[in-house]
Amino acid sequence: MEEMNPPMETQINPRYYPLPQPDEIPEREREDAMGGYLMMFAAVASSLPLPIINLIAAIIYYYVNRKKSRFIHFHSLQSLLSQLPTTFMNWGLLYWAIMVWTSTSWEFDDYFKGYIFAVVVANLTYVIFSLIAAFRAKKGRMYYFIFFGKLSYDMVFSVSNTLVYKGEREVSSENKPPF
Amino acid sequence: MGRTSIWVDLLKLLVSFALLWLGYTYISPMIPTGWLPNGSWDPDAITLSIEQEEDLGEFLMEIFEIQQSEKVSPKVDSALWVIENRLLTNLGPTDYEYKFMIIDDPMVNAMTLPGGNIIVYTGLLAVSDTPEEVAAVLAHEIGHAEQRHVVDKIVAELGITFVMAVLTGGDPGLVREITQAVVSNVFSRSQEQEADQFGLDLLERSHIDPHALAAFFRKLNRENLSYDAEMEWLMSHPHNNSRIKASLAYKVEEGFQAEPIAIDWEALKSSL
Repeated sequence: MEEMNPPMETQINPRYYPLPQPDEIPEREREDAMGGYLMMFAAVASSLPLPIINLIAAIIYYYVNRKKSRFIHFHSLQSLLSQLPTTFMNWGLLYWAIMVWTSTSWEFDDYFKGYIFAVVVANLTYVIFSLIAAFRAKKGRMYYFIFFGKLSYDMVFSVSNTLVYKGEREVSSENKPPF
Repeated sequence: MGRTSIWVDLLKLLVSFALLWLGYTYISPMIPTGWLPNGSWDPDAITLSIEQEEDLGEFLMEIFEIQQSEKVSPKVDSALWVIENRLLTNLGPTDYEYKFMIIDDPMVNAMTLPGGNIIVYTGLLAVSDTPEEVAAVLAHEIGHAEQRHVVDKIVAELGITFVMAVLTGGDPGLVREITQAVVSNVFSRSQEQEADQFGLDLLERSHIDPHALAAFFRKLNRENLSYDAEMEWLMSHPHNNSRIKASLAYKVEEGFQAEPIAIDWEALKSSL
């Protein structure tokens, strides 16, 4: 599912900011980046069986931490985006289960069983790869989920991202080149 | 490479999810599982899926149909339809499409095949004094089907691999064994009690006096019909009168009114 390192050309691609390397990332940033994944697990546990609190918690965490650094922004965004599909799937499962329970026209049929299976696999996959990503973030490493990793990278490291980060504020100095 | 690969990844994710969902949906019915008809899961009840059970039931019904030498009269067929219709309209949600077949044979017998297929012998009609007694026996048999006693028994006796071999191959030796397992129809004491209870509830819902089941049992006692041979299917524990007592003790809800089954029973019996 994952690609461990971004392709070489993206590292020198002028359309993207250079990636921070592990020795450049302070311990505090690494912990905040890891927190994006681990905090969500606690929220998931507290929100069962209503899968909504985890999403709210992830959104809050993302908005509170995203401006601290690109590294934190990337990991918290990846965590937020990657839990959207599982959250929607879990909502669907909950709705379907309620309808099967309460309505005679909804049946516990093979489609429902298949959906349960697919949702369980999706949740397990999400949990496993989120844990891996959390440990990678703690080590100051990038870790790219399929789709969500590339999307987050594109949104955070693209030069079109105009967000001003705490550590980069000094770089955007008042002195401007003459041309 | 670049941004296009992001959307390619999204497509891969969506396809993977669809394959997981639909793959399991269509493949799981072919895998013996422990899912029960009520939606619960029992790991000890690894058995056939409903679809497999229906296939096996249809297969066995064809065998019984082939063996039947004479067709019963339409009058008998329509009488049975009236009884089964009364029960099935009050059965509620079920996984099965029930099919009843009547066999012209003096044996006092009825049996449940897998997949909601029920066979009734004319001997059972001949010995019954009222259509309600036949309804009581059929309700009991429906109870066995709903609780999946038959398929569980077949799987327990012959093994899931054996049953799957019948479903996929139909080797004559295997078919003979499975048919014998179905015909023997000896259930455990608890299974008989469960089927009795289900039958009594169904009779009440169908506005048929549930005591008809006890009446039928008692008549068999009184007339000293051969339990060990002919009635083994119904009386797994013939010397235990607790089932008769339980049937007699069954309390209907207040306001219950039995509605007679509109069949000229004497005329029907004379036509057998």
